[in-house]
Amino acid sequence: MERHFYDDLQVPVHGCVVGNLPSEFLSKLPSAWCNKDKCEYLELTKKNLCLKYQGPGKRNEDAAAARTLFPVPSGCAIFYFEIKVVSAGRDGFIGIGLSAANVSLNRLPGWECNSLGYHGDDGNAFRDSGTGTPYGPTFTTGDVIGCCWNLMKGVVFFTKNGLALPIAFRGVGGTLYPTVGLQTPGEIVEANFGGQEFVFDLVMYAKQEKLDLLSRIYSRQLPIGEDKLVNDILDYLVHQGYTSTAVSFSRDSNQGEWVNEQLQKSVSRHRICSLIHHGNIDDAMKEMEQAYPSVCQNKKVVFQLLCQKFVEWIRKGRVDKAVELGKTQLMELVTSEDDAESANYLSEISSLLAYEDPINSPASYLLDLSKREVVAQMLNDAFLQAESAPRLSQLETWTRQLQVVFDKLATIQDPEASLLSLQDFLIR
Amino acid sequence: MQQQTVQKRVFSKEEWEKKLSQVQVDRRDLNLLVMNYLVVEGYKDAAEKFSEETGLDPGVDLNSIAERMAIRTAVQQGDIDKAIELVNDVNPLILDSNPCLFFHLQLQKLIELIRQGNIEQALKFAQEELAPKGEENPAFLEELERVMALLAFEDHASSPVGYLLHQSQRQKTASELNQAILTSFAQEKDPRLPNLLKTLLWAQEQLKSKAIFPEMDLSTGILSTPKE
Repeated sequence: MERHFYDDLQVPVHGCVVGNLPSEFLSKLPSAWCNKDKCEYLELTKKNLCLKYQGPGKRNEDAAAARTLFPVPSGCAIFYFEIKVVSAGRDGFIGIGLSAANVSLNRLPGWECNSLGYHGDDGNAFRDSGTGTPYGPTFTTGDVIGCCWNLMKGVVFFTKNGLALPIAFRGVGGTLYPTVGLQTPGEIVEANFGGQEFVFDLVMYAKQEKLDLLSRIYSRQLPIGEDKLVNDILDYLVHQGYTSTAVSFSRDSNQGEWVNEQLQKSVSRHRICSLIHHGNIDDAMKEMEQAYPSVCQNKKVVFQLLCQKFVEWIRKGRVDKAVELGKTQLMELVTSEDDAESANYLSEISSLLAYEDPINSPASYLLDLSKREVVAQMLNDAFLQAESAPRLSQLETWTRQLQVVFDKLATIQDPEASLLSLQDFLIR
Repeated sequence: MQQQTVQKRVFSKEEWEKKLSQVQVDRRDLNLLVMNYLVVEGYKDAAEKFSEETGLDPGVDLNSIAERMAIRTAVQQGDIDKAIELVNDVNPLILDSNPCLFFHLQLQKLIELIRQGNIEQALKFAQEELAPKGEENPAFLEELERVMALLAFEDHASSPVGYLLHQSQRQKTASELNQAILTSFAQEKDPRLPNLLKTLLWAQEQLKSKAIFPEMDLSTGILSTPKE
């Protein structure tokens, strides 16, 4: 894919995990060694990040491991942590990896069932066994070693000084804790669970993985044709009252008939919205009385319309007309409704009166053309409700469905889905 | 990884619809999605009107859309020779470097000749221009054969491959061409809306493996009723 798309790609990184997680999981991320779930031979310092071996260091059984308080959340896409070897001590028997909660703490990670690890003295990878397989380089004092678990693919690989080593293990699943094991006197390691910047470029790796996932998803065929898509966009435009866009789009996509039919159904609705877009509030209100008398009874709607009328008078430089409108109709509505929000808005727009040149005043935002759009949308919703047409366009229905499916995938802890969010399609 | 047999969770339609009604979708976001579609697919006038009606910035120079629009219109009206001429005006490398696209344009031209009832010319064009390419590439040959199947029926439109004569076939060719032009400009070439729908399909399948829930049919927008 093109470079620019790559640059725009957003990945959700929260410390040591990559993935959008429900907040209850985010507050339980592995962030330090647990002072209860560690071997007694280990001394814990520096906010529970630094481990020093204090045991006899004579036999394999003198090995000492530590785990974090919380396990890796199983709904994240990627998990990563690093250790810096502050001192390799006497023999540099240091292991980094993952293990389940019940694995003995007198072992290096990888020796026992339900654990895996990468060891510094021989560079071997161990899984569920005291016999390792040749894997990567050895590591010693000054090296930074990372452990990366890609939960989407069920693979674990390690990094050395920021460089990724090949995949060490496949088919890795279950509830696992970041684990470190030391075995000889003087060994000191300090962990980083994302509190500081990682040496390995986790963000870049996560972006590659996300691109990989997206290109798999995007290479699918849609079961609906281009013309159906065009129709649904037209449906949205008509539904929201963007009439001129709908007319132009339907002409250029050769779907004219359909739009005309739709527009016929709600000519008034669209004419009123279009009048609002052009700042012609009076004519809009007249047409409304004819076409939607019930909406004219809605005082909130009427108030918004009159406020916009007030603003339009100011835009035209007719302060006198604006003042008159404010004193009579608007004041009446605010008083009769006894609604603090309306009263506030009235005083907000009244501030426009204080400036000789409102367009260049601090209150000029009230004159922004987007305010017309806000009013038009409010009316459109009210009209649709009065017509009892379906309240949602197809486009919005799809978007909502996707959001709910994403939410459910998060609760069932789907690692792949945690990389994606609705925002991927919405941000510019 | 141990394969567990987990009881699938069931989400009732009632519960699901309640969740759907609680989702907040910002209208501005949907508008951006539509604007992106109009701009990427080259609907200049519509993008301009949409910008006026919503106050959204289209994000690109709309004049650059005009060229693409002219090309798209030519394809949608079935004037493939004109489309090819216009693309070569923009950048001759687009078709030179993309034999598959060029083949699809020629196929579309063949379809147009058949539509016009110009059978003699259609046969000549197929034999001289398309068949040699089909010999080199089995995928091309298959596509060519499908188009030629139109000729086997007196009433082309009611043949099993009658869909080739639909407007949507022109749209498809037009989109492919449009994407190639955008790629040559290093602009975003896929509109986001179709990708959003593909993601919806994917996400529903992903969830289906672990839960039973009301699925949405993309063509009707209707939610299924989950059976326990």
